Amino acid sequence: MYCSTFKFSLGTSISEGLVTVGRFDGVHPSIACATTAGRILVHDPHHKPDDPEVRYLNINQTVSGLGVGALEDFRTKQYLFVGTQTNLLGYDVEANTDIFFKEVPDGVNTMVVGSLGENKTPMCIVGGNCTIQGFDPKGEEIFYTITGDNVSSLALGDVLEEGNNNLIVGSEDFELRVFKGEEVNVMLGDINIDGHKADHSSYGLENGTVGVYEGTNRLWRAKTKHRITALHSFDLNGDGISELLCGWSSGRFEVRSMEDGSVLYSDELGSCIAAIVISDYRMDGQEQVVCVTVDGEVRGYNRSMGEAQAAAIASMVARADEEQIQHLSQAKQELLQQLKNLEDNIKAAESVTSRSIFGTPLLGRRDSRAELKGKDSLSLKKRDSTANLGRQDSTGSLKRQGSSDSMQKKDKRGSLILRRQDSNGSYGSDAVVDSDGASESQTEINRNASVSCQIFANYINRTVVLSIQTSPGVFIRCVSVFGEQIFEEEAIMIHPKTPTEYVEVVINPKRNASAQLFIKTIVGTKYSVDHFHVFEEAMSFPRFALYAPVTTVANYEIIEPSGYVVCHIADRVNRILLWVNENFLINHPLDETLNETFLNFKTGVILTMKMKDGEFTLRTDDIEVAGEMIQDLCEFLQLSELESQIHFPKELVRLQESVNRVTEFDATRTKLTVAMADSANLIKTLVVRAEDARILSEIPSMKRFYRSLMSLNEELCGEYAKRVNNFNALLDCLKETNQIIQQP
Amino acid sequence: MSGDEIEFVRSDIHLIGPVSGRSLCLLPPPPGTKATQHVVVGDDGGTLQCLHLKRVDTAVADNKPILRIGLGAPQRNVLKEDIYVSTGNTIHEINRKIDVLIAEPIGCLSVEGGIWVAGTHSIMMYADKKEKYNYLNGDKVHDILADHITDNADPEAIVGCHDGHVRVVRKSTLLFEVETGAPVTALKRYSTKENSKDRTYLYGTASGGLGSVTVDSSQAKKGWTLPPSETLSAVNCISLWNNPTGPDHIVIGRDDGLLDVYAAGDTPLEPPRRISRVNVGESIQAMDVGMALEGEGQEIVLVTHSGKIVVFSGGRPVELIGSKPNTFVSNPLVKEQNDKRIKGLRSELEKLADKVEKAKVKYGKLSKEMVAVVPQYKVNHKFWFDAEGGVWLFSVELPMPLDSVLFQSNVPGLTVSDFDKSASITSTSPQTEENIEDENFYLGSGRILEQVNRAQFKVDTQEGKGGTLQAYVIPLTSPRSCQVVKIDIKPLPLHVRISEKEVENRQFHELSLTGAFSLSEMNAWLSLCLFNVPEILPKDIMDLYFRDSQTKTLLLCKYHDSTSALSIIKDIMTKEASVRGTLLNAVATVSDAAVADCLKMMHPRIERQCQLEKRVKFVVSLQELSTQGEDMSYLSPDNASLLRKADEILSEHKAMPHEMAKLTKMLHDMFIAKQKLRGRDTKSRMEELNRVLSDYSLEALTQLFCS
Repeated sequence: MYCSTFKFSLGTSISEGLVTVGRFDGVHPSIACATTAGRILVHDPHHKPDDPEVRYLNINQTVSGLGVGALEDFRTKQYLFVGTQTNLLGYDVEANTDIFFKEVPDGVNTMVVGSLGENKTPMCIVGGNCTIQGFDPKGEEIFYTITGDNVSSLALGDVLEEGNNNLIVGSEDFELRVFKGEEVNVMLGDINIDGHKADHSSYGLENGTVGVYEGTNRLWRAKTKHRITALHSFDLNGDGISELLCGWSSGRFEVRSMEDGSVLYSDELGSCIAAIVISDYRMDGQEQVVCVTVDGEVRGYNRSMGEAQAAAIASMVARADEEQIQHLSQAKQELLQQLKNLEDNIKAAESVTSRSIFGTPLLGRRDSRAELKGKDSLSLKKRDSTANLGRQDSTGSLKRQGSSDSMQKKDKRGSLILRRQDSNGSYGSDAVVDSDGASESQTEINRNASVSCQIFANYINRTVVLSIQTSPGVFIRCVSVFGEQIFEEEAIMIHPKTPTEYVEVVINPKRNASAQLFIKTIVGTKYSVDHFHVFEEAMSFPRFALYAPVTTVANYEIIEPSGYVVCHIADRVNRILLWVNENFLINHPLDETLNETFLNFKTGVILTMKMKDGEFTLRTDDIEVAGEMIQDLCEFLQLSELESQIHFPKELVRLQESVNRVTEFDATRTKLTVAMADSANLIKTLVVRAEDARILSEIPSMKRFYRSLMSLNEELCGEYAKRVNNFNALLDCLKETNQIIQQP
Repeated sequence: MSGDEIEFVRSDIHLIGPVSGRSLCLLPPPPGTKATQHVVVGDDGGTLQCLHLKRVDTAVADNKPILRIGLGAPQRNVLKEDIYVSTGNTIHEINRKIDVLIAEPIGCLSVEGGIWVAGTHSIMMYADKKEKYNYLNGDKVHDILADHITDNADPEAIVGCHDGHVRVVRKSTLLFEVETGAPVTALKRYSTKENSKDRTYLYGTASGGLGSVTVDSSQAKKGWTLPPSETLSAVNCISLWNNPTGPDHIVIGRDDGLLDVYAAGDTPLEPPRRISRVNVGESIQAMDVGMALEGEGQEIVLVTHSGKIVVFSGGRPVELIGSKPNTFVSNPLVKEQNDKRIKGLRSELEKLADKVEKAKVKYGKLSKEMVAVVPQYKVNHKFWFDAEGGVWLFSVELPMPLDSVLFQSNVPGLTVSDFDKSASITSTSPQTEENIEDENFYLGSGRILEQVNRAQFKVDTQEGKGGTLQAYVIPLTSPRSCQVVKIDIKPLPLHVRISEKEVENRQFHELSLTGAFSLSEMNAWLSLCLFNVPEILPKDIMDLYFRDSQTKTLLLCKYHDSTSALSIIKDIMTKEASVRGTLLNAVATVSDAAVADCLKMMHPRIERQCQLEKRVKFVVSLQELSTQGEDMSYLSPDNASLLRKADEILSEHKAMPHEMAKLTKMLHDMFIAKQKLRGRDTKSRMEELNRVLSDYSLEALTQLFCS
């Protein structure tokens, strides 16, 4: 429907995600992108005749963030902002001058330009390692906040529908946070955000998931095996509703519906899509969608359609009928199959039910026969309902014995008969009857089979276990469990060596997350070979399942944690108890005082909860856990604010330590920098003197100077390595400090 | 592709039960008339239906699946309008049963005066209801075509065989055979005029290839073959589309649902070019070209695995569509009909939904958990080797949408991954100690994301250990059931059988096995190690040639030159022989000359790859320099030429990203195998090998191997 309207190549490789489009002279749009070698390429199709079409800007450092925006009101001229791992540059492309240059010690991972909250002044917001900073046109920091982990994406949008922009932050700790001013307002758990665009907020994750939130509710999510590299929203089909544009690492460009995620259009570009931008790039008054790939290919998609395309669409509309018929007959076919399937099963069920009526009076006799034969009691026991049946039409079975050309045959009633390979010939015709009967139950699954699934804590191995137990006589061939965020690759499969009646799956999620587990249990009889029944079960996995209640076992030494949170909750106690029930693995009744102790199997963290006069006390030494739980509880009780007192002595000590270390590293850094400056001076002198010596043809002294220059160089390299190490240690420390501070 | 592309309009006309045979054809119109043709189609339930516009005549032939429908006439040069149907191991001439005594299900049949039929291996000709000739083929037969090549009264048979041959059989003897490289799955005579002297036949292969064979009374000659452009799936059926301006177009129905139309090349030796491709969505089982609807001109009528009968009409050049209103779809009469059909389908759907609901309730009473007791569908699966990519491909198809496919394998090193174009996500389960103990070397679950009936997966295997791969196929039905597909993985899965002609003069290692065993026993042991060993050893052929698709080394049934393959075969054979209690003397002679030969053969590849890796590094840096836009004249001529060829080099590297790793692994395996056959310890010397590889030269490598 949407055809690509133009394409050209930039002729160089582009870094993923580092592409933007801006009107640097206030009128004409240009594409700016970062190349893989630390340079910025500006492609200006509307350049003045004597200017080059492509200009380069050397940054000489790996570019890690690129943004564009007007920082002054009422002006259309836009500036380019370039972030690297150490600084932020504001650049006026038109005038070829820097507007500011700012050290950003936390690095720039991503950036966005716009206004936030009630303050309408536009600013350049950069996300670094755990920090988010906003800079005004002069390069002054006017906004600062921290978040849980390295920021991987940023977006602005009025998510809370209050008329002001909110900042949406995706970070590497699998969270999507919405900031209102500097306050965290909503937290939405999810995995590595890669890029998103406000409106409905859409998000794309590192693991190939793309989804859309309307406000704070997730509308849909879809998963593919590729990684999403670019996201944008744009009304490409002109129906007044924006579509979601996704660019994938595979080079696929997709247009999806915001409402349900269905793919409306797709195109294949040769390589990974670096970015999708929207601009009136051809300056014909029409906004276009522009896709840029890492190979430098640029493709534009237009909303409007040419005459030829319109004709093609007309013909497509004419074909819609045929397509509708196709869909309808597909649906019809599926229903027919389902009906046939059910009818076959009903038929088989009815024929067996009628037989088991005959079966009952003979039960005693058959049991005695089972004893006689003594061995393989299981299969003998299973002969019950049908052994007499074999007798009933034993002539038929005898006949069948003759035609031994196939293992499986259908008898007149349509049920399966499997000839047992090891049937002992000495039993004669009797054995045939038996084997017929036995095998009948061997392949047919008991109609009243069932499975029961349970999640429980195994105190001996300290694991959380999902167990699957079948009803007697039904054996599990394999199990597949699917759960978002629970398993390494979303799903796990268990395949016991021999069919069993009981299977355990150890669940060890990386983080506290509630999830739906979808369990497929493939069952048959002990002898089923190629046909099985599938039981499907959906279970919810409690968010804090790894915290096992330890009231039930006494042999744990419980040291009362020193840290605690106390808060007054006005809600009914029952609501809190309900929250505990839903989010922990509780299998005993809770009383009003709560008074529960939990042990985290993975980390060994102990947690106690108490409820007294509306006061909820949570004791634990891990401040992060406490924060997470209180947050979750608030969400459950729909409280937007909850006053609480906290006391975490251990955390304070840790914070102090880490602040001390930061100071230390910082001091070392300064010292090293000073030393380096000294050396730099020395180098200058040495070079000048060596060159002098060369001009004067004093080769020996020249050699000497150069030799000392070399040693100095080596020294500097060594110093540099030290500096790098120190800097990394400093960064780690800072990150830790930030994380401690950030914990609510 | 050139500008002669054509486009079709699809219409689904009818639904029948699942179809797994090649069971559809169009009855010829009475001579001299241009009436619409009847569609004869049979399904797995054994129902034979004859569709003519709105009328459907049903004849139940048997309750066995209908495998093949052929048209024929009792004599030559008479209009073929008798319907011959094969179900199980009998053949019916419609309403008249012909007793065919053949123990195997008859998958192929062709009538041309006499009836040629083929089971899995045996080929027979019947005339006047009596067996006249028979021939036992060395491997499975996939298709047969009866035709008069000579002036003989009885027709000859052209046979498409699993072992990659097209054979011509006259009476009870093999006349000619032509090598095709892959199992032949479909045959078609390429000239519709009955009396033409031209005997060209088209064949389609399991790996998606298409070729031509020309046969006259003295020889059979291979014509063109389609260049291997992409990994394609098996050709299930071939038809011809009458092209008024030249040779007929070739229509191909593939197993992955692609319907391709090719226009003949300009000369008889030039391969045809594709002019149209439509995706039907599920595998095309059988097809014919004729007039079935009231459309204008020819139509392609096909039946899919789930039993959809689809007609493609039009076949008009692409440019015309859009610029000129499509007469077929915009015809008001058709529009009205369509509306009526849509309405009818809707009401049918409602009724059906109601019925299903009732049945569910009923069954719910009988079985609380709705346990699926009766298997209700047939799994159509294929497992074939893509020699280009060096991977096996696995496809499953059901007559209904798939929910998921779970994989389990006891073969170490085997992994299953998604086929790029399929809509599935495979999650591999972590390899825990428990899994390894239970011999679950691979566990993975593939979820199917879209509503499709077919899914395709890549199976990466290593040479070494054999075993099975089990696929648990779960469809989207209720009650939900599951069927298992088991695939044998041979210990040498990457060896492809080749013909003697492809073997150059080469040095071989030798492993001789002597003992009191028969040739057929030997053959059975071999088939434990390798894919594509003929099930019945042909009397006169005793050498089987295989080529490793990775190392390109050869393996003979008696003479080999790949040490890796050799030591594995030794393991397997002695194991098997001791199981049988046969006394077996295995003598392995490792020939240094053969090693050197083999290394020499690999040398160009290794060298080229080493060079390439080096050049890629240069090119990337050079390119960066060049984007400065500065004067590049200071570059040395070497570097300048590198820069000029940059795109070439990069794309070459891109085409084979893992080539170097693959080569290194091959050399490692070969080195270990050689030391193993000599009974030496290998670990201490691996370091040395790595060192030699890091600074590659053929001499050093050969010396290391032969020392």
